[in-house]
Amino acid sequence: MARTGGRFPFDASLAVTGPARVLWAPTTVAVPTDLNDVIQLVADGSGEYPAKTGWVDFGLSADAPSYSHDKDTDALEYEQPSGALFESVSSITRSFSAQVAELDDAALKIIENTALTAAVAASAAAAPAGSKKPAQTKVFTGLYSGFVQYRVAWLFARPVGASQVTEPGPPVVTRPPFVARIFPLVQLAKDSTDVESSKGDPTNVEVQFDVMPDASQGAGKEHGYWVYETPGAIVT
Amino acid sequence: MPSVFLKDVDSNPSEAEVDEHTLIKGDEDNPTELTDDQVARLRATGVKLDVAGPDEIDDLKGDVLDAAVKEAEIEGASSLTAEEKRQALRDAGWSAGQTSGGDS
Repeated sequence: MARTGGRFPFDASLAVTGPARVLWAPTTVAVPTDLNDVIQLVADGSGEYPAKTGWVDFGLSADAPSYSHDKDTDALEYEQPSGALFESVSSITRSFSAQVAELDDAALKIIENTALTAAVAASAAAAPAGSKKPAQTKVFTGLYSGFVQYRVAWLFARPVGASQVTEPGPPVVTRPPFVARIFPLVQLAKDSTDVESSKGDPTNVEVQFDVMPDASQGAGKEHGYWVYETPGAIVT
Repeated sequence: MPSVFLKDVDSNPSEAEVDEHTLIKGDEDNPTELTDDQVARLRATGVKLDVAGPDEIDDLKGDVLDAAVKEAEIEGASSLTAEEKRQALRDAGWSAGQTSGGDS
């Protein structure tokens, strides 16, 4: 779409908005080659866009996920000029914060950096009243010396009305194009993870990840990629 | 009483507890004797169990295998090979007693 707006031109079709959909996958799942490897891009019969095999939705969140790309440089200073003549990049760190308000064993394993869970069976029908219990799930927590690594996909979309993708029918569905950031390798950041449950507020856990380089992706691609859909019809 | 262990599959938790018993994932060498009711309650949590010893599902063939698949309500079974049907039965937690083994 052409930029319009007189002295301050813009292209509204490139705007992006939330809410976001954040998914994770174990590293046994292949790094997605595009968005279609993460979710189905054509609605199923129920109007859903299910995650592809191996990918899991974090689901509800009570805050927005965020992404940070930090750079550090060192100035090369000389005696003669007053000021740095050159700068060299000394550090590049990328991080992503997911917001998790669906607490199940899958999410808690990530939050607690553990792989140990237990299924607890319900009590027998003949158990005395004081011993009756429903089935339960335990997530064990303990000491660790390393972080489990995952893949993460962060999806959001263009605003309704900005541009649209037309899915093949029937029924024909139009929707805003997805925009996504794919992180091929992340691990829990060393920052703290706080869980708070207060009256009147949804319990929400911020889970911070450091984006790690995945050398298998090739030079310049180690930290993943952005991807967005081109507006228009998906051909059948 | 069946002697069972917690299968080493991704979908299983690392442990499963029923009454005073704790089953460790993949611990085939130490199967646990459980009552049918305990097995049923564990399976109701979604865990996949295997019976220690010879696999009765391996003995299912032909019409008997098809009957077991039908009884376990395996979807899309008509397009599966015999071995795929047996695996689907294992994944569904099917056990003998629902259908006897066949010889065809």
